[in-house]
Amino acid sequence: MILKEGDKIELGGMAAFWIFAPSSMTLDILTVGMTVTIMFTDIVESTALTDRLGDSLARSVLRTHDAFVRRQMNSHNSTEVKVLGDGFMITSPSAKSGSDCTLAVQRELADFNASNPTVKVGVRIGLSVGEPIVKTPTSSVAL
Amino acid sequence: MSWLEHAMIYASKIVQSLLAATGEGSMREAGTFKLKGIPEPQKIFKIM
Repeated sequence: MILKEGDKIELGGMAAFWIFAPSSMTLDILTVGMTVTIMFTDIVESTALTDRLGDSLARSVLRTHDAFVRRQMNSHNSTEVKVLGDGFMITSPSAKSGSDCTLAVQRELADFNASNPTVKVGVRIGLSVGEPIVKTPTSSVAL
Repeated sequence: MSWLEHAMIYASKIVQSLLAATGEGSMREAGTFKLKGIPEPQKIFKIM
């Protein structure tokens, strides 16, 4: 399935988002009729964080966040779909593995914040489960 | 205070139901949100 910029994905009516791919992207991790857990991460007030920490430190914090998320994705059989600026879209094969992944990310983040009290970065994570469909401007296509 | 109390992890009703069915996870209702095109507010849960 090739997604184009502007295509919309819906997940069981609970999560909806637009794909802002700079060019067409293949979403081959999702299969027709397959139930998946989808997660979104987002750094809390990242613009304010950059103002507070400065560009260099803020970029370092962002890279640290990315490393936490990717490490736990790999540890919990989950897959990065795309980077969303200061967050990720991730799929996981089950609600259990998805929630375990989110908990592990937040635990790493808590340890990081405890060791870096002047930084204090927060991350929101949302997760839902369903069978994704893609809505193009002219049709709906089940993945 | 536990790190988990500060962790911002939010799950949909279906995730809450799936985890509760297997005895996994502890969640509390954290409010509702509105989806375009769906009249009923959707419950959202915070993993504790």
